[in-house]
Amino acid sequence: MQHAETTQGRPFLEARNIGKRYGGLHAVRDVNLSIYPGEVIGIVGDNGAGKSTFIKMLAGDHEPTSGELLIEGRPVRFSNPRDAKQAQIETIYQDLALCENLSVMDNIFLGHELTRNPVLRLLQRNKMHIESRVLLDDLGIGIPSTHELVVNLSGGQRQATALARVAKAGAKLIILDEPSAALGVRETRALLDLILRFRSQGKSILVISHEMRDVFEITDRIAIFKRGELIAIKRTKETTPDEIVSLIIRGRQ
Amino acid sequence: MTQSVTQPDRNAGGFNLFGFARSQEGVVVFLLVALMIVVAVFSAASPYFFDVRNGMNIGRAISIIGIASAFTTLLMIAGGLDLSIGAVMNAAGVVAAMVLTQTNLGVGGAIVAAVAVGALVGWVNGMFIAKLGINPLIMTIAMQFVVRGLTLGFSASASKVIVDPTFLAIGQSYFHIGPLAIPAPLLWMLLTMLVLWFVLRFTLFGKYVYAVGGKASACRRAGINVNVITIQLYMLSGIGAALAGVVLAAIQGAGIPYGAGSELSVISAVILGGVSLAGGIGLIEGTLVAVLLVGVLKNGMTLMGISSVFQMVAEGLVLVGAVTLDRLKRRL
Amino acid sequence: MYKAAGLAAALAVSLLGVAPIGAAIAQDAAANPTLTQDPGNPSQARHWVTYDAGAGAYRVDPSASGDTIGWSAAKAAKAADGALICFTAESEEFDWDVVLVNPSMRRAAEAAGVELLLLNNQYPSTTKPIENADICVQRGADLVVSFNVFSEIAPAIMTKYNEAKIPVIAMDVAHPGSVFYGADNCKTGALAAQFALQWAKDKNWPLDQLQVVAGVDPAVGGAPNCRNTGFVDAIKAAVPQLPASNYYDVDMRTGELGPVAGAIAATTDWLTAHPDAKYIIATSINDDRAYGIAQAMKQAGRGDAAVDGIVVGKNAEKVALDAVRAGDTPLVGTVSFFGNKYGDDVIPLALDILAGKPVPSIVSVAHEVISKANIDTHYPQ
Ligand SMILES: Nc1ncnc2c1ncn2[C@@H]1O[C@H](COP(=O)(O)OP(=O)(O)O)[C@@H](O)[C@H]1O
Ligand SMILES: [Mg+2]
Repeated sequence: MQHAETTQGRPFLEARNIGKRYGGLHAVRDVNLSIYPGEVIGIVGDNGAGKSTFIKMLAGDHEPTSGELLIEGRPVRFSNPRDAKQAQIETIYQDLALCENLSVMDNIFLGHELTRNPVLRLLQRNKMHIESRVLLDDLGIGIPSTHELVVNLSGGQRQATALARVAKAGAKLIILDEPSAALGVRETRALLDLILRFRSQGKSILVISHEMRDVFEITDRIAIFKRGELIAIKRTKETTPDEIVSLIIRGRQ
Repeated sequence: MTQSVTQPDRNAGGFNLFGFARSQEGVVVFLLVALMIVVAVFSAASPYFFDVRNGMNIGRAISIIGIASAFTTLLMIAGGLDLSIGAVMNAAGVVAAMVLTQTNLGVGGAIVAAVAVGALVGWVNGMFIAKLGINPLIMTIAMQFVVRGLTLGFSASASKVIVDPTFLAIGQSYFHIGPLAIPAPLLWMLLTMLVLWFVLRFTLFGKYVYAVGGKASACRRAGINVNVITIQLYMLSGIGAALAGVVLAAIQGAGIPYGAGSELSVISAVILGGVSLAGGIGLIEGTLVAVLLVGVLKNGMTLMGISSVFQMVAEGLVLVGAVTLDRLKRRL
Repeated sequence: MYKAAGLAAALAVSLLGVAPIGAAIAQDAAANPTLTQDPGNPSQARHWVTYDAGAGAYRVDPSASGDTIGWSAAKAAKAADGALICFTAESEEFDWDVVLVNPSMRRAAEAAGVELLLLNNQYPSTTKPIENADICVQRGADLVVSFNVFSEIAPAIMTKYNEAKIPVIAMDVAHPGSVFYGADNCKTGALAAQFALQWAKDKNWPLDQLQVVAGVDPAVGGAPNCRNTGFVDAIKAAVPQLPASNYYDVDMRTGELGPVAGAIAATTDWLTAHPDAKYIIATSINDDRAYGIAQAMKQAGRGDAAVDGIVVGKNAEKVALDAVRAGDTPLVGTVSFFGNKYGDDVIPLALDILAGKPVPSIVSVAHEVISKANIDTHYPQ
């Protein structure tokens, strides 16, 4: 096993004293975190601890109000999700960010549509349907038709759609905000396998989860958030679920 | 991967009547049926109704609302709203008439100037709505006032008579196809709808129109430049209104700075055609049939000698009926 | 409509404690009866009146009774220093106002050296005229020229001016207890009919086959209707043999595309429903509609004024004057009442009232059909 050493070398992404205020509310304050290639970091914490807000800053969805971000050592500013995508960061949001009025295929390709004719930019529907099918089968989650509208899908199928979109994009850092919340047992298994596969491809993964078993199975390190602060980072191998839970609840061991 | 899995799968499970009734295509079919019933009733009621020439009259009468409605369909599918289109129509007609009478830029120059005015108004609307997050209703009402005031000011409230025969032909000529004499405005409307139908159905821009209307935040997170799409759609709305204004001026033979307030008729036709006010849903086909339905109703009632006051009532009731059915069918 | 306004006026006057007509007649000259008549009614007698600033009402002046036609703008009083006339204009949108009436008022006021405060009644608003009345009172106007076309709200407006003891000249639509200046709607209809019949005779049209078309707008009620009914009544009187089935009210459908497009659509439909109609004589309430009717006839290929028919408009608006001059549409005449000269009468009338001189209770404008024959005299290019 090599991931004990993954915190060495140059981090892919480094957050320095990152903070976010919503008016008077300090949702995230002074978070320092480095994410190395090929590691899986779990983020845990109570509801309202600031986990989603933190990852949204990495995803370019919200701009930080303080601190700085570095990608491979270079300072960057993400003023919208496009910037983060350009830096090879892909995100699955807690609410999945799907267009329910569109088909599974449309959502998988949203923002990356295949087109021909540079002027008219005509959609290559057939090609996108075929590629979507391949991606979905690969993920092992059953969606009968890529033509189906997302509004008619189950929670697990929606999750799969969002995952397929990220899998397609081929990012260096993949962020997942509570991805297993809507999943059944079989679907969760497939998700965990997928995350491990991403890691074996050298990608970094940041995953927010409440499921201690999952967190301990797949992560290399665990970051604990409390009231907007990152209060501890533990190596998964050197901690226990009890220790993490007590950190989440009491803020100490 | 086996062959069978990589085939693009078609709608599994056969035809579903309730599903179809709920779909956007279902709305269009329903409207078509309503249209046919109305046509049958008027044909029985008035000997002048079911007649090619009367059909062409209807076509010309609906063309202005039709042209603007086509563009508004795109905007409203994307969740936007533009109440400045009536004011832009007037402005465009007056600008075209002024360019024709006071410069030697000719018909081309007149149309370009009118379209530029529409695009500019749309750009201002779009900038404020997209970049500053101003409510479209408020922003476009404000622009309606601004544009109306400027139009009246610059024209000194005087109607401008147009005599240029080429320009008048835009609104008054006929295209002869076999025995049919199709009024030019009807042709412009059908062309506009055909182009925008193609855009909505086959192009990336069309896909983004639906996507932005479905969930703008998801589009932004998917890396789509939602602001640019929004601004482009408001510009298109302004351009559409300007084109409608040019055709209207040509039909009237004058640029008239006051009177028209077509925005609510346009919006109600678009909603009647099945576009959801919340955005994300709708088809140009629906708008076409809705515009036809309203036009046929007005024409038939006129031929039957029903006062325009009651025609207003009928138009309102049809809209109420349509949105009520829309609510009810969701319970299917 | 007038009747209702008159009743309301009588009510308003009695509420204000001004002597009602019946009681006043018996009194001596110092307390002459106040003007409560409804001067918009053309059949009503005209009087000489003077403004009684103490009572806040016009008084009918028996010592200056008689010929009311004798008033002349040329002999009007000079403006007093610092006098302010408040003019609540019908609109600053429609060309009748912006191009014709409003500039004439400004021009005449400037020539007379009197200050004019122009407020916009924003036709078709029915609240703006009342708000503007408050402003005129607040600004301490010495006299108000009220161009409010809704007779329903005229009593409410007059209540404010009577309380503030400000004399009022009402334009085009009567306000109870005020001096009236303006057009006689019924007369414009009759003049248009006269012109149309003359045209028909000149072209040797069979008078018993005329198709009489009145472009009506159900949304515009009241006094302006007489522009159509006056037309129809005059034709009926002159051509009694014309069957009733040859008269048509065509609904101008003023809708979302404005008055011209509405008139074009409505007329096109009418022409379709009457494919053989010839010898059409049409009129409407104003030139926008008349222009639209003519455009529809022309575009349907039935716009030959020598055979198919003619349209006579009202107002002498620019679109109609251009069409009359060009002579290429069936719109061959328009009844003018010279909105461009309103100010030339109204401002001197106001000065006489302010000077306490007697003035007629009704001053009618000149009416004339403008056609190719006289357009260059009245409206030189
Ligand atoms: N867009 C926002 N505007 C204002 N407050 C917000 C917004 N998003 C989150 N918050 C607040 O910030 C805090 C952190 O929220 P969040 O990051 O969603 O927590 P978590 O994901 O850990 O449950 C909460 O108090 C939440 O109410
Ligand atoms: Mg969260």
